[in-house]
Amino acid sequence: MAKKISSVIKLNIAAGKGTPAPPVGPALGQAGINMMEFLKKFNEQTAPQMGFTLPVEIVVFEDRSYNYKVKQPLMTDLIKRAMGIEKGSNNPGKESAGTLTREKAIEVAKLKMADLNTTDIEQAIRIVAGSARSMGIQTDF
Amino acid sequence: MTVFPDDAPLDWSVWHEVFERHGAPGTVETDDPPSLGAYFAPGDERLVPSLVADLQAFGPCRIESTWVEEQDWSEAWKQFFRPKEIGPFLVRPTWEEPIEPSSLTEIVLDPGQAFGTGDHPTTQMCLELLAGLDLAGKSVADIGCGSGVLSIASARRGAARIDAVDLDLPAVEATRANSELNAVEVQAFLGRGFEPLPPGTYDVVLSNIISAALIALAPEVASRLVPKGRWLVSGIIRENWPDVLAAAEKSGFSLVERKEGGDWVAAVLSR
Repeated sequence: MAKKISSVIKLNIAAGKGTPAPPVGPALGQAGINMMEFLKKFNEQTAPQMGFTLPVEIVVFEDRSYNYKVKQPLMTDLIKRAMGIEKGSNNPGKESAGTLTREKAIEVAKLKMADLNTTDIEQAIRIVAGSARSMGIQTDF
Repeated sequence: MTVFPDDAPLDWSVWHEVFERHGAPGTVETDDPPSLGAYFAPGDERLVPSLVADLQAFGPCRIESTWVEEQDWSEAWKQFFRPKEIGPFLVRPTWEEPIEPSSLTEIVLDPGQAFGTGDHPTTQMCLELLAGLDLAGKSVADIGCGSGVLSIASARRGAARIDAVDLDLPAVEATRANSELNAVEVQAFLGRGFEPLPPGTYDVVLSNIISAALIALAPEVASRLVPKGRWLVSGIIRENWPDVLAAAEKSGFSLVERKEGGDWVAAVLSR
C-alpha cells in the first residue's frame, strides 16, 4: 500500500554544498527528517554539479521516511551556461546581458521540459525566453 | 522573507536569482499558495528595500517578512526520533529516558551523522530478519555499518565476534561510540567492502547498503562466508531486487527469507 504523504518540500539549493543552515534547516527540521543524512546523500550525489543551484523536491511520508528528487539546475543557471556568461544584467530592462538564440533556447527547454510539467517544446521555449528576458537577456526569435 | 506573486510564474528561477543576489543561500518554494521564500542573516535588513524593488519589478506581488529564531537546525529532527520497538528490540535514542522494566532488548543509539536510526524501513526489516538468525557464539561482519545498530543488535543476540566496516569516517566513529554506549565489543574499521578486515571467514555477513554495492559485493561475501553461512542484505529498492538476487545466485547463494516494507526489500541468503 502506498504510504501517506505528509508534506512536500521544494528547495533550491547549491549543488554539493548543502548545510543545515536555512533554508534547509527550518524546512527539514519541521518535517522531522534526519537532516544530516539527507544532506550527506544530497551533497555526495550533486558534487559533480557544483556551481549550479538545484531544485530538489522532498516528499515526506507520515512515518517521516522520505524520498527526494533532484531536478535539472535552475533555468537561469542553464541559460547562463548555454550563453557562456556568468550573470544576467544588473539592470534588466535597461542594460542587455546578451542575446539568447532560438537554438540555445531549445537546448535549455529540452533539459528543463520534464521539470516544467509540459511535453510541448514550444511552450517550454516560451518559458525559457520569458526567464531570459527577465534576466536582461534579449532573444532573437 | 517570502514573496507571493499575484500570477504564479511557470519558472521561479529568476525570482530565486533576486534572493540569491541579495545574499540568500537558497530558497523554499510552495505551490499552495504559490510562493518563494528565503532566509537572511541579521544585518541584511539594509538590503530589503532593493530586494523588494527587484521582486516587484517582475509583477504585482505581496511580500511578507518575519523574524526566525536562530537555532541548531541539525538537531531539530531529533525531537521526532523516539524509542521504537522493532521485533525483539527497543531502539532508544541517547537523549530519551530508558523505559523500564522491559522484556525487549534495548539498543541505545546516537546516530550522529551516520545512517541507521531504526526509523527507516531498511533498518527495521534488517533488525527483524536478524532476530530470526542464530547468532549465539557466531562471527559477524557488518559491511556498511552506519550507526552500528546492526552490529550492536548482533552482540545483543550473542554473537561472539563482530567486525564492522564503513567507508564513511563519521559512521565508523558512530559505531565505536554506540558500541561503547551499549557496552558491547565491536571492532569498527574505515574501509570498503571487507577491506581492511583480517583474512578468514564469518558465520554471518550483514549489509544494509544499496543494491549496486550489494551486487558488487556478492563474490567477496561468497568467499568470506562459511559453508551454509548467512548473508543478510537490505537497502534494496523493490525494482532492483531481481538484479540483486541474480547477482547473489551467480555467486552460489540461494534465498532463505525475504521481507518487503514500503518500496524496500530485505532478505536472508545462504550458500
